[in-house]
Amino acid sequence: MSIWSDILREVGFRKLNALFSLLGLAVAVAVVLVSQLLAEADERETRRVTRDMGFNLRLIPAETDLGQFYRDGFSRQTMDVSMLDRLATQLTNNVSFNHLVGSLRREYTINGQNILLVGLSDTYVAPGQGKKPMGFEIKKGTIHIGSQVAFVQKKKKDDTMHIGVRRFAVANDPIETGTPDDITIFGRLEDVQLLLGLAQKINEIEAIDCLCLTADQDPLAILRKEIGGILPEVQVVQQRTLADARAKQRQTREKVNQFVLPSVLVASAVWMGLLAVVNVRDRRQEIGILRALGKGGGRIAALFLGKAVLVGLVAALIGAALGTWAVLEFGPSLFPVTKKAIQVNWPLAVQLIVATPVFAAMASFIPAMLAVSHDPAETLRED
Amino acid sequence: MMIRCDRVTKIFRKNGTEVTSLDRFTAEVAKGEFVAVRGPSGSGKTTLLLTLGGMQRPSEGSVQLDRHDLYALSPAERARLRSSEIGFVFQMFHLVPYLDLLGNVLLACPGKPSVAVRQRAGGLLDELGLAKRANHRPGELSAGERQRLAVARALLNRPKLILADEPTGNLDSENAAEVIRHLVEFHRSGGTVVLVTHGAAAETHADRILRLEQGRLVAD
Repeated sequence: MSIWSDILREVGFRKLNALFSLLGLAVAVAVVLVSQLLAEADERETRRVTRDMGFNLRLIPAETDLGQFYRDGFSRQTMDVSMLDRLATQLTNNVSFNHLVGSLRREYTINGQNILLVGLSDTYVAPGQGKKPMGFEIKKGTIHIGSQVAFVQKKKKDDTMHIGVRRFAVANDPIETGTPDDITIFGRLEDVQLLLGLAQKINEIEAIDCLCLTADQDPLAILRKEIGGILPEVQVVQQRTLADARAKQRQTREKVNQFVLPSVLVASAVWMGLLAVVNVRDRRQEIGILRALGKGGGRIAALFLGKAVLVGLVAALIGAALGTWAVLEFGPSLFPVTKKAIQVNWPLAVQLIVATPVFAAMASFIPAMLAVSHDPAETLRED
Repeated sequence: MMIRCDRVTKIFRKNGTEVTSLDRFTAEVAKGEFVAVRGPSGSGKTTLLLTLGGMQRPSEGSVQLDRHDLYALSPAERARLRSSEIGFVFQMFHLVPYLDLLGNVLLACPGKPSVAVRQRAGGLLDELGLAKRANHRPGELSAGERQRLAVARALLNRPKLILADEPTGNLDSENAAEVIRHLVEFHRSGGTVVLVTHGAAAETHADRILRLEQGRLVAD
């Protein structure tokens, strides 16, 4: 008889033991998968929500008068658009960012209405992070207009609107926000540069999640030092509340992960180990007779470890399916803003399917060794 | 000589107390002999059997089995010798509950059973009146059938020696006689049997009777 057929027969014979082991591990796998996928979804959701609150770091030309900047909401000075490239490519490991956007912002008048005209560059995404650009993408020949602009100019989505000599299509349904965005027209950076006669110029670089997550040092000082080394022509303004909110959210998530994952692993290891000990106790006579028949310790250990591997593999498949289903079923209602981004994390699922049998074998290792070292004479004399 | 025991002593230590289960036991069993071992409970019969089977190292003394100094061998060598030379039959049968009858018999086979070994296992089940139940599990058998199954397992490897520890202790007289009949057949075919028993019927087939008391051989 092969080891695997013996293991399968034993599993079929002691169904409850195998079932409890299977359930424990499957739930653990599902919890790990769900907690990871929900953590990712939570991060996306929070990032998306806080993104709508604005950028946390604003880099403006060094010669900007901060009084004017805070009063008007933008700098009257300009800087070269190439500085955006320099910043994106030269930031060191001490400072990370998720998104960088260059903008050119000025007051403008259309048909007697004073508005803000803002040109936005394409978004720079942190290299190697695989993140999608955030914010709305402005397509060529289109603009996004605020609600007050729409009201005064009597424009709605898909209408045509002239700015200067140029004609654009309105790409959004204007919604009142109660912010300066209501009197703003957003366009592509190149278009706005042409309209304002400021080719190749921007007056701000905005960064989201531009962070230096050091608990014991002043992060703004480090940010200024790092960015100042690359772009001495700028001054750095941090919107501290936003930065802190993002950092706290991230730290909270990390703390939850630090608690949930080890707890699940320890609990499932203890559960699996206890069930394996029960299994060894139930099978003392079998171990005794196997020894009497000349079977070596390797075969006896293989019977127990093989069972753990088999149960672990099946549990991982069930747990991965269960966890994935739970996330896809309940995730969208938990994270409505980013529900479309909730997807199966195949690499994680595969990792769990590979790791769980190994983990189960490790949890059953001590009981298996107990079985191997068990004195068969003790059992065989218990008649 | 099949077995030679020289001053075999086994002392168990439990909770600081020493119990001498075998006390300088010295005896020989010739090849082809049928030896019955008798004695009251706790006289060391099972200890003797497990020691002869290489399952329990004596505290002192030596055991020779078919010219091998049993406890001078490594555990792996002892396991191989046990597998090829010895068949065990126990009072409590010690069958594997999740294997069917054929699987239990084949358990005695070292490595993967060949077609010939499978045929022999089937033949043994047939001889012992269990062929029709080959696909059943031990839990579905009567006590007598279980013990016959244990005998079939003991015979699979054509051992030279069968060590039987009160194999009829849990059986009615009819089934007990049936089991003894199979041991006698094995003996008649040239095998050596050491049978621990309380039953007088088994003694009628024995060439010799060893009597143990408090671990000592008091009569041969």
